[in-house]
Amino acid sequence: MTLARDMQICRAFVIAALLETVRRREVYVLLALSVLMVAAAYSFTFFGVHGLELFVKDMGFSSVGLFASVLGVAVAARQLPEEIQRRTIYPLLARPITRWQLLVGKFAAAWITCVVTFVTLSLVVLLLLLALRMPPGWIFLQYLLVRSLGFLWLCGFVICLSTYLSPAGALTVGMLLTLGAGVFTRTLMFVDGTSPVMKVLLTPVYAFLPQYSLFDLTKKMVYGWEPIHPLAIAGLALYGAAIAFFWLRIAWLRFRRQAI
Amino acid sequence: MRHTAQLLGLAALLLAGGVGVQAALPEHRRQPDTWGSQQVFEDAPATSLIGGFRTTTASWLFARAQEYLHGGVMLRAATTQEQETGAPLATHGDELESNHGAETGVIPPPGRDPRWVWGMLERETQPYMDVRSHRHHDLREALPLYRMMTWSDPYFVEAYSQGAYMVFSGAESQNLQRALDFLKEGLHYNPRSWQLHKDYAHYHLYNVRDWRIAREYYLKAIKLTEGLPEDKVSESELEAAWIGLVQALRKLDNRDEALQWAALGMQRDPAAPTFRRIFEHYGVPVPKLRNLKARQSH
Repeated sequence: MTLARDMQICRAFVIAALLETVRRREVYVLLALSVLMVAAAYSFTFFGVHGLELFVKDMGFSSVGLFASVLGVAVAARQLPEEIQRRTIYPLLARPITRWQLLVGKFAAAWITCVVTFVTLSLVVLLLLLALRMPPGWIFLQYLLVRSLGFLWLCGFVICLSTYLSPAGALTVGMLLTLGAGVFTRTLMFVDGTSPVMKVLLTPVYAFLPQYSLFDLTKKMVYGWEPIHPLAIAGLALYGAAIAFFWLRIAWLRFRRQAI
Repeated sequence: MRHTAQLLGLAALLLAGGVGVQAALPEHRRQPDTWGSQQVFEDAPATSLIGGFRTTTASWLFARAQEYLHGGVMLRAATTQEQETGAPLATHGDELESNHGAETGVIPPPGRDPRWVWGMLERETQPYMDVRSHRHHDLREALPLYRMMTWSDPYFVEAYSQGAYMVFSGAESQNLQRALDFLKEGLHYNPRSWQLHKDYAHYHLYNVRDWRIAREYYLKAIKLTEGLPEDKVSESELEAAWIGLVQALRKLDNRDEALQWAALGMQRDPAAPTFRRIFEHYGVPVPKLRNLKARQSH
C-alpha cells in the first residue's frame, strides 16, 4: 500500500517535472546545439578533410553528455527551492505526503527528466550519425543505460546540495563537482598505489567522492571498444542506487526540520 | 524566440569580427616558432588573444590526435616516484617510433591502483590498456586532425612534423608525396624551423634519395640551430641531422666536405660510428680528438 502510494506520488511529480522541462524549452536549445556540434564537426569534409568518423562521433556524443549533465544539474537544483520560492510547497505538504515522500518524488522527477532528455539527445545524434554512415556499435545501448545510472548519483547529490545551499550555490557547486568529477578523483591517484594500507583507507573514501565519470562510456563507444562486462553494469547500478539513497538521507536530515 | 535570434546574431557578429580582426592583424603573420615569439605576444595583446585561441584549438586537436592513436587511452607524464618504483612506462610495439618519453597511463594498472573496486570499475568503463609495448590504432583516423590543427595554427611545427610522419608511416596510407607536400607547407609558414628542415632532409635522404636536396636542407637545419637556446634543440635530433648530412655528402661523393663535417661531428660525439666510417671510407686515418680540437682552435 505504501509502495503504491509512493509510486503514485512519484508519478505525479515526474509528469509535472517533464511538463515543466518542455515548457521551459531548454531541451530544444540543447537539441539544436547537439545537432550543430555534429554538423560543425562534419562540415570539415566540405573543405577536403576526410576520414572524420571518429571526430564527428566524439564531438556528437561528448556534447550530448555535457549538455545532459548541465541540464541534469539545473533540473535537480531547482526541484525543491522553486517549490519553496513559489510557495507551492504549502498545498503539497497539506496533502497526505511526508517530507521524505516529497524528497523522493522530487528525486524521481529529476532523474526521469534527465534520462528522458539524455535519451532524446542521444537518439537524435544517433540518427544523424546513421545518416552519415557512422554507426556507433552495440555498446551504444550500454552507454544509454550506464549514463542513466549516473544520473542517480547526480540527482541525489544535487538535491542534497539544494537543501544546504542557496539555489545559485547548489547550481554552481553541483556543476563544478559534476563536470570536474574526474579531476577530484584523479588527484588522489597520485598516492602510492602499491601500499595495501592506502588501499584500505582510500577505498571507502572514494565511494563518497564525485564518481560521475565512472558512468560515462562515451570514449569506449567512440573508439569502438567491445561492450563492457554485465557485472560492471550491475556494480554501477548498485553503487548508483546506494549513493543516491545516501545523499537523499543526508538531504532529508536537513529538510525534515527546515522551516518553510 | 526574439532573444534567441538576438543571441545568435550577436554570436555571428562576434565570429565575423574575430575573423576580420585576425585577417587584419599583421602581427599574426609573424613566426611564433622562433624563440622571439613571446615578444610578439607581449607587444600585441590582441594577437595574444586571437593567436591564443588558434593555438589552444590546435593544441586541443593535438591532444585529441594522441588519444585517437591510443584508442582513447590517455597517457600522462610519470612522476619521479613512479619511475623509481617501476611503474609501467609507455613504449611502442609497432613501427611508429616517435618517442613517448617517461609516460604512463592515466588509469593505473591493478597492482598500482589505490582504489580497489573503483579502479576495477574504471578500467572496465574507460579505455584502458597496458601501456608497455602498446600498438597504435589506424593512423588514418588521426590524420584529419593534423590537417585541421595546422589550419588552425600554421606555426605549430610539431603538428607538421608528426602529421607528415603519420601520412607516410601508416601502413594503409603511405604517401610520400603527400608527406613532403605537408612538410613543404610547414616550411612555408615556418621558414626558421630547424626541425622541419631536418625532417624534409631526412625524407630526401632515406626515401626520395635525392642527396642534393638532403644536403641543402640538412645544412639549413644545422645553421638554424646556431644561437638557439639549448632547450630549443634536441641533442639527439641534432645528432641525427649531423649524421644525415655526412651521409648525404658521402652519397654525393663530396669527399672534402664530408670529411670536414665528419671531423666536426666527431667533436660533438666522438663515439658516433658514422663519422669514423667516413674517414675509413675515404682511406683517411681517423683523427685523434686532441688533434681535432687543435685544428678547430686554429
